[in-house]
Amino acid sequence: MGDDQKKVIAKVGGTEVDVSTAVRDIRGIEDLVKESVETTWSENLVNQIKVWLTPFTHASDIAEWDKILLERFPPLYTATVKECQDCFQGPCDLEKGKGACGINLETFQAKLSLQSACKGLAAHLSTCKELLEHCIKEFGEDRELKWGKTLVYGLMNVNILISNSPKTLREVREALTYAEGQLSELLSAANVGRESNIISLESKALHAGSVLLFAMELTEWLKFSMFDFTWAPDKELLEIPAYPEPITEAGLGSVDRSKPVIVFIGNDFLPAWMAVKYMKDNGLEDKIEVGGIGAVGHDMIRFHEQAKLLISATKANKVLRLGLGDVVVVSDPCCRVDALEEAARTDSKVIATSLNATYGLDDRSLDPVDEIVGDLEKDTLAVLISDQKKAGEVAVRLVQKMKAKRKDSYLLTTEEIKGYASKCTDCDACFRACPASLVSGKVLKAAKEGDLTGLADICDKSTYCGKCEDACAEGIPLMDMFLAANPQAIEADNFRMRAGRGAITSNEIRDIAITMFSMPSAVAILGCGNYPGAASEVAQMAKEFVESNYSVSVAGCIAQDVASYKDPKTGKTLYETYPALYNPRCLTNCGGCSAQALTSTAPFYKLGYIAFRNPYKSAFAQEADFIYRFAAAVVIWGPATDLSYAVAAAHARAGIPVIVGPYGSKFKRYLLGNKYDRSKWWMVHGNKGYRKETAPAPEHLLIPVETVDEVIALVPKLSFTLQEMETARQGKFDLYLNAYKKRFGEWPDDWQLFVSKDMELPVTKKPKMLRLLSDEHGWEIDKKRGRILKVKHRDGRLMEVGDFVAEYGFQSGQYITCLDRLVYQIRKDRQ
Amino acid sequence: MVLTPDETAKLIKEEKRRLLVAGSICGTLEVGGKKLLDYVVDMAKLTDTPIAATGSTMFQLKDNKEVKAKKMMAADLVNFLRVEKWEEPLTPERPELLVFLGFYPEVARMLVSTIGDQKTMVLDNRYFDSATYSAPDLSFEQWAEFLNKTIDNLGK
Repeated sequence: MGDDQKKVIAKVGGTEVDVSTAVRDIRGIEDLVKESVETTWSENLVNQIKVWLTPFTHASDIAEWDKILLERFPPLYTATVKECQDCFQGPCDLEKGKGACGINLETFQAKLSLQSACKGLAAHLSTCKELLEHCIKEFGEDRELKWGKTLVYGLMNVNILISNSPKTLREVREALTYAEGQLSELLSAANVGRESNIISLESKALHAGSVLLFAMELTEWLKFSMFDFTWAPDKELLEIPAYPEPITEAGLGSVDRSKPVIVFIGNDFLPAWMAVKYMKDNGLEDKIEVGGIGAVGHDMIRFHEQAKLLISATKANKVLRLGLGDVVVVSDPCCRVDALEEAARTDSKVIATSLNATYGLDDRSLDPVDEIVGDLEKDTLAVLISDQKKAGEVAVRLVQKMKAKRKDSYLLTTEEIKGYASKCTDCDACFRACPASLVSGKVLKAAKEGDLTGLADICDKSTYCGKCEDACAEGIPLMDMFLAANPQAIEADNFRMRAGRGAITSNEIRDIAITMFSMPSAVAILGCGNYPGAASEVAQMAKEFVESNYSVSVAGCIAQDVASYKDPKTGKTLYETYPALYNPRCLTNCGGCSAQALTSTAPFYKLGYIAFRNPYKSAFAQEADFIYRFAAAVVIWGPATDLSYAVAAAHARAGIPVIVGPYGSKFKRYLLGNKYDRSKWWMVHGNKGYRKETAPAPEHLLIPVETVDEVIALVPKLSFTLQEMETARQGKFDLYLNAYKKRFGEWPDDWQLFVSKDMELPVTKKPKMLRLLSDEHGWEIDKKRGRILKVKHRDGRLMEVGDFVAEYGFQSGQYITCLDRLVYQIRKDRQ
Repeated sequence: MVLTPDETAKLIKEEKRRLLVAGSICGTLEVGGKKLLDYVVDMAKLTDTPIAATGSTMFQLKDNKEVKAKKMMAADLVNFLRVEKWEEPLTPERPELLVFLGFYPEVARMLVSTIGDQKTMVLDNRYFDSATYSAPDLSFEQWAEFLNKTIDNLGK
């Protein structure tokens, strides 16, 4: 933009600001920029820092922030793929040296990282686009969208990138055009001969995450606005603790198998919506069971009270092998690619509905319903019907005919189990193939003798990926054996949960702004539920956090697993026990896959504005700089797809530490801090502009773990902030040290890095902490009175407490920042 | 390199700076009538090697005074091995050989792929081509024999 750019004046209080220089290129968006500044910037702020916005944000607009993060938490790669086959000059073995284009192994890993994030973004963008196109066809593009009674600031993940939330379907389309443009730009950077710098590649991967949350939030909003999904912002605050009622039946045992059963799989709820509508129109609601697997299941329970949420998408094979669905409707993504083959084993009929996952079938959308139902009733195993309305009708009409044609049970008999077990040669190939190390020849040997306890134990723990069966040279149907060994567990898999509630309201944020200084932190548990072991472990993790006063929110397939624990005394699940607020000691389920955009970033952007008047419109770096200083954590448990990779990237970029497990090792790239490298831990005084060394908090931005125990021990540590009130720090020390001791039998070796004065030490642990500070860390302690006399600085100096506090870290209440441009200047109007 | 028990013991003994890394299933998985963790402890005692216990395995080692062990997140282990300025109380010097036992396959694969300059040895019953040294594919019976023979050789 040239220097002859005309001034664009925004009025903020009594101050006039020329915002023509507040963005890279203001042409065409003058009104948007002006409105953004006038509505979200305070007069104080426009006079103290340079106004800077990044409307329709590109990755490079946030590079200043990304570089700070990636310098402090440098990307670390698990280079399991070392041969680049990205172009026709290769393949190049990068372990041996540079590739033909000049790329080295580490840059190649960064490129793979960007590609993963882009794939994750693309997967959801296409879902969102499909939903939008349907809405436009149904309602017209001028249709105005409703917000809900209390959603004051609009869509925060959207505002943060494009300055405004769309008001009509046409504007949603424009917003998605921005997102699609970003995807294409990012993916093109991952092409051969393009971006070559690791930090720049990673910055783009992080951006793909931010754009993903943008698209997910739009999807969530369409679901409420156009399809009346449950939506807390449409409720008054006093209704929200019990909203929605925890009455949704979930689990495989919740299905009434005396009725015809339709099972929906995937991430497109429209076929299910259409089927339910057809059922309602024809008075069939009580005659047919509908259940959903994965994202579609989480959506179904938000618009149809009688729908059953069956299981997470990664464990869909358990349902297919059981033969639970007389008719199975598959959309995309998150469907097994062998769903047809698996469904055929139990005579289930399949209706595919997505043009992104056609299974090689011809689209029969133009054929009459009677003809399609007739074909499926006979020999046809599966059809593709991309017209969702027709797919819904076919499913309902077909299922009523299929019920009588199928067996009551497809489980193996005990004799059949023993017969298959006797084929085992004890080679243990199944064990070596199992990602969860569950099944082995020993288990089959016992089964051969009639002891099915080993198989029964696996029934609940397996993800039913099928690798064991594939590895078995004898062709033993191991997954069928797990299921048949424990039908009681399947019946007992029946519990009540809250359906998702959508966005966090401004009223809840207002309240948490008051309590945030005394609570440990806000924790979100997200993910696909792709992990071995019992779902109740995840519920125990949520329980631990809720009961330790965290604000806990959940979203994604994992939200169902949180319900799988029942209190032995009350028989109630966590959803039935704790209020559904975004507050300490509460548990709120935001919803399915797309609701992962609602649990952490959106409320924190809102918190930044409500509590600190931090502008949120196209001010990503400013908001992330704010969030980075507060206590929050995201746990992604059981990621299964690239979408989780991008979700993790988005949260990390917003300054929220992310813990990934138990298959976090597959994430390929971590963002680990080094607590011992003092040069990495600093902040800038927000008024005076100088840098000071700080404690290493949060220690990591993206860290893999193996067990739930590690999560419970790590979250309190990652919740340490740089400016904590003493009571809050005491509480976090208590949680951190207790969790470590209880789970690993010892205290951690790094707690002392977070101590600066005695007031921070929890009373019950103070004597031991002081003794260790004295004996093992060289601090000078008044052992008689139990006081710190001199602190051992990390550079080796023994210092008076007051001197140390003045030199190391910042006091609570002091404004600090990572970005020099955000240092407050003396107000221009008062100079 | 695919290992035999003889070679395993020889390689472990030859390397002065070594670290045993006990994975999250060490404390639960039984092979040949004893837990994998017992094999790790036997190796540690015979060779005076410290144990980095990942997952929740440390809880079972907390009262064992015969070995030097510490809870370590996999990420801490990677940091210890790769970054400058790391202060590790378990063993001040960076090990040259890391011996892994009791890991889910993907976790083991991640660790050996991430570790840069050190030699890695995986003694689980799957062959890991990305490790410097690995036990071959083994049945449980062969695995127990492999581990027992290795321990016998370490004691010689």
